[in-house]
Amino acid sequence: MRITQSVANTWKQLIVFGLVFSLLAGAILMIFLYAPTEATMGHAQRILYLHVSVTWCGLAACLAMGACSAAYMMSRNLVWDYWSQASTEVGCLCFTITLASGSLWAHEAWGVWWTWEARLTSALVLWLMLAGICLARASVDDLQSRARIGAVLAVLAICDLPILIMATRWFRGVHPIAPQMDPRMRIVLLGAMLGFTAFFALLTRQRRSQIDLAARVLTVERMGE
Amino acid sequence: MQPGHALKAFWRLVVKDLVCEFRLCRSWPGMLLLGLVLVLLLEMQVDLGTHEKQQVVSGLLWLDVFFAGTLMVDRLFSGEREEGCWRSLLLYPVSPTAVFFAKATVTILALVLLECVLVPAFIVFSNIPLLRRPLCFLTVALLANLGYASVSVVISALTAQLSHRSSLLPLLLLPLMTPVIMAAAAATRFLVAADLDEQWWRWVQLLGCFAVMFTTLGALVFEFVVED
Repeated sequence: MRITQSVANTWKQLIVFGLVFSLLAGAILMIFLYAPTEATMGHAQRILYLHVSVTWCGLAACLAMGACSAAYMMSRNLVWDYWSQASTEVGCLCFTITLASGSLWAHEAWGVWWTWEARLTSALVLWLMLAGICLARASVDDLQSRARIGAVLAVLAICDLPILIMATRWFRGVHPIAPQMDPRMRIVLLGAMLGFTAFFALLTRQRRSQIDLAARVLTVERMGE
Repeated sequence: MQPGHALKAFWRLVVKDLVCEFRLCRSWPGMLLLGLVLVLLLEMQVDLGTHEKQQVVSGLLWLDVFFAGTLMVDRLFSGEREEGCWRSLLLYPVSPTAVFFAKATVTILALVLLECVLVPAFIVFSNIPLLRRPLCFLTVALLANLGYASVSVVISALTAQLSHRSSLLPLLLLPLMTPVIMAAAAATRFLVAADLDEQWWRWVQLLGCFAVMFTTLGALVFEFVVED
């Protein structure tokens, strides 16, 4: 019975993996083959599809982190903390890619690697906070204490999100508010957002399973001591 | 718990912390000295014209205040932790919210003292009239201190439970404080100018939003933080 269930699970996982990687591959192919080449920036403009999609995934990860931390605080169920930790780590990864791709874009578009604009600064601050949360979590061994510390820090960190989202409206900056795009570019951007969202969602789910497994191993080890 | 009892507990905790500090001089003298050393080092590097100096001095002032403040924040809960009265404090029928507000008040008082020393020092060394509009400056300082104190109490209570306390505190606190530092620096920069720009009010509003948000969140999560 167990073997049949395990085989069914493996097949289910393979199908999900196949679907997600097809979406991601499709998005990458669209970026390089279907998207029109922009007149001023040329091929460098294709960075935008990665940059916007990954930033969206980072924001979604941060919202998930805040929501899961709040859920943990209310229920004290460690499963919510595992989701929160996985979202924090994926959010940190997404913002690392966002900052790197944004810097490449800035160099091509504005001739500088970095500018102290509100949106860039708030993205860097959020990345620092996420990295800080990961560090703080890593320095605690006890599962409940780690969850408690991570939850409080996550709730405080999401205070930066309104600034990051509203930066272009509240402060004068170099990021456009509602840019005009070619319809084909819009389709590619939507496709890229779908592909990357599926990929990072899968990554979060896998990381959560890994954290869950590590916690179980730790509990068994402690019981044996 | 009755409001009168909570207020009394709050007042006693503030007095206890102030008396301990005055008797033992654990963190405030170090904080003041670090603040002064930083003024000296920063001002030596800023060899600019008056206009350029006006643009940077306000940012340097708040950076200096908050950076030197971390020295005091680092030891905010260490007295209770090291001398074993943390558990007694938690067992005593005092609301954690009262403890939070007492610690925040002590932090604000320390920051006020630090600003009383650093603002004149910056005025003397940079020759920039930071107190051109004293009441407006007081508003900015009050909101900035409130925002900083609320977050720092929560972070200090959290890091007091960690093994790498001293290295993690600034790593966690300073990024969280960035919106407050930015808003306080920008608002002070407008105060130094000859004419008060209306943008000053927008920065004060942002600072106020963060101060209120951090104080509310801090009071709400503190009970959760101090659980052992």
